[in-house]
Amino acid sequence: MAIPRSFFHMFRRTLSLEHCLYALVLGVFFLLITSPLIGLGVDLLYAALKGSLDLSTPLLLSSRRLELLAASIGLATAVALAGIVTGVLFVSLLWRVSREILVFILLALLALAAIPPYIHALTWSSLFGSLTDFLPGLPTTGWGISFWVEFMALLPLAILLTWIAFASVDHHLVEVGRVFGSDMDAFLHILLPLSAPALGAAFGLLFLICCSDYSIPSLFGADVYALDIFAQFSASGSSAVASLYALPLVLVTVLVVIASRSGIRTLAQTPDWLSVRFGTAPRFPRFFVGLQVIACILILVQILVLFSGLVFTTGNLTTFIHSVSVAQGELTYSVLIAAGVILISLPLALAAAYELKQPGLRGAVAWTLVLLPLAIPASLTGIGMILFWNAPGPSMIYPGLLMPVLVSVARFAPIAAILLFVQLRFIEPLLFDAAAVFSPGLFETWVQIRLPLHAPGFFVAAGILAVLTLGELGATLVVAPPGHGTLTMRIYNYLHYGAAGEVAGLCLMITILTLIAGACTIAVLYLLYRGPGRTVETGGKPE
Amino acid sequence: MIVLEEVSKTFQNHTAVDHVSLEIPDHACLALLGPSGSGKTTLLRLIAGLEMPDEGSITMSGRVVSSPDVFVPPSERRIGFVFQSAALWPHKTVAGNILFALDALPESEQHQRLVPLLDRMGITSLRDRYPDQISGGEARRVALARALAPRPETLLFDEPLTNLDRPLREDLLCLIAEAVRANGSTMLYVTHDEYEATAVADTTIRFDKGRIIG
Repeated sequence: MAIPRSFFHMFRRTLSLEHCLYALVLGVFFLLITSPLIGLGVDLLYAALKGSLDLSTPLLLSSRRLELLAASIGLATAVALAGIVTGVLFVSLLWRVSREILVFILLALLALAAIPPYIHALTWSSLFGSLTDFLPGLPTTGWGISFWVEFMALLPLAILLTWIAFASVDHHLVEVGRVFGSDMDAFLHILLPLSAPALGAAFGLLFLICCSDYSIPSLFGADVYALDIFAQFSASGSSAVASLYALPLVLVTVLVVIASRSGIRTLAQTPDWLSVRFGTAPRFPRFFVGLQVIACILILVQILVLFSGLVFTTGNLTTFIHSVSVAQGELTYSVLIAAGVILISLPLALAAAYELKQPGLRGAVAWTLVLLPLAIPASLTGIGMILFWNAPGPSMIYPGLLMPVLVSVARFAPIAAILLFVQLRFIEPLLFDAAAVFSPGLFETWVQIRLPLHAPGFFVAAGILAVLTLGELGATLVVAPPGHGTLTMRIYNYLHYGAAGEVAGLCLMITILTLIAGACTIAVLYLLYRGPGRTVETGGKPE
Repeated sequence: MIVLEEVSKTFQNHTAVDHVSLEIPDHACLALLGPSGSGKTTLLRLIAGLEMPDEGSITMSGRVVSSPDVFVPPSERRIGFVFQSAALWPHKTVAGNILFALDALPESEQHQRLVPLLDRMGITSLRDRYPDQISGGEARRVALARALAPRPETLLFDEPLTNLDRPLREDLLCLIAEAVRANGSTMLYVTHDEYEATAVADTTIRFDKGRIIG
């Protein structure tokens, strides 16, 4: 009798309202984030069955395609490597600053990391343009400048990820190293090897972002594979051909995602990384201090060029007001898209965050699915979204105003899920157990206990979703309905065709919006850090 | 001799160590006994050079190692430290963990020291294992061996037997007492357990709210 009864209980438990809702929301989340892949997969299958497809396309890499693929991988590798090396040097310098300054620097970097790459492209191209008056031979297009601008754009993120990677190491282990060896020995033989998996994941993330972005290389006249996918789609009009064409790059990015998966999980599971500190400043050899100073100068140059470039290129307040007023339609549409993305993504991402917490195979599958969208180049995501939503069933969505919202949900809801997962780890699980014991019902539990506990994470995720959506270009460009463009699309077009003052005004506008969203996020991150339900109460202090 | 003069340390608004003055003679075995949160770990970390005092100075063997103007890094203080957790580096073997502390010595001498130490701690068979392949008690023995390896002038213990069962604790207490005496080091042993304090040390000092109370 015991077996049927336990089976009955399990069945009843699965059929509870809470479980059904959870399964439904989770299903919608995974459907939305994998919808581009489903669209591409079905389209490929259909074309293959129809016999209208040359399946050797991904294998027959012409010398031009091979060159493009190698150049894209080379650029992404160089940018990620430079970012991590600079990050390691800069973060080892942060070791000596006080806790308050450290928190300020990390939060400022968080806000800087959110500024879209094309804004860096504008400021650096203005600077290089001015420098050519004095240095006529200075190249203003090509791979060199593409690398530099991409490196500058991703530097704040690289530093942040490096910090989290270092914080993932139990700092007691580093302290023991400092007792038994020099600070340099502890750094080289303890901290670096122990943080290597997380640093590898940080490298992987930067590589993926760089591989899928074509905005900067295209602005500087360097062709990359991600841009060529879009060009292939525009030229042939065949999504299946574009998908097959993209396969070699997707193969590389999927391999990077698989290799980085456990490291990314380590990065996300680093507890309370803002409070990690060392009581005394380390003493490094002179050559290393020199390298640290160079890293520090690089980040200062990045900030200086960004802000001074924007202000000087905009010129005056009249130009700024004019450029904002002519782009009011795009501005409104962009803000509405960001709001839509937040509203749709957050509840779905919360369910996914719980799933990411699951141990064993279930958690591993959830992590793989959540990280998979990161491996898909933005332009291919856009094509996949068209294929999915243009199908007979949901065709009323495409072409429509909702498409840019859905495309950003598909790209960024996984990031919201990871952020909520991080916050979930700060909440003492016993608080939920206590709510289950004392609460009169499911609704009350959610309204009075769960939502207030999740609120800081929601605000942080909303801020990050807003800035990512405002800066999204690659996929939105493919799916935007005719006659409706986002602010980013307008800026991208301006960047191609000139109009420096107007474009700088719009970039300044985007930067201000990003920094406002960043400041709100930081304020709430502070609440999250100080907020209710945190497991760690000591703030990393010894007793 | 270790001399602390009016040493204070504050974290945000919490004073962990409050104007503490203390003299520990050479070769003394001293236990610092106090409840959780009393500031005894911070005092140990200040002596080790893992924290900087806000006020006061610390002198070791006649040399000022910490003061508002002077700071000597932990690795130059000739100390051994056994932490609350074994704190073994997971990417190094048992032998690798101990050899890191002997890095300054020539390779032949490193091994001359390693072999008898492993033997004394009863961990010879574990030398090529990684920390996740040994038990909690074995890990504490490795941590003790690592602390003893460079023959430090001062041995610092921060509740090294936390979370171990009674027989294992007694076994390790004997080993610690024996090893410290054989090494001839000055010992400062921090604990909240009166039994441990009396078993391992010649003198016990009581500590609470950042101050010595007896």
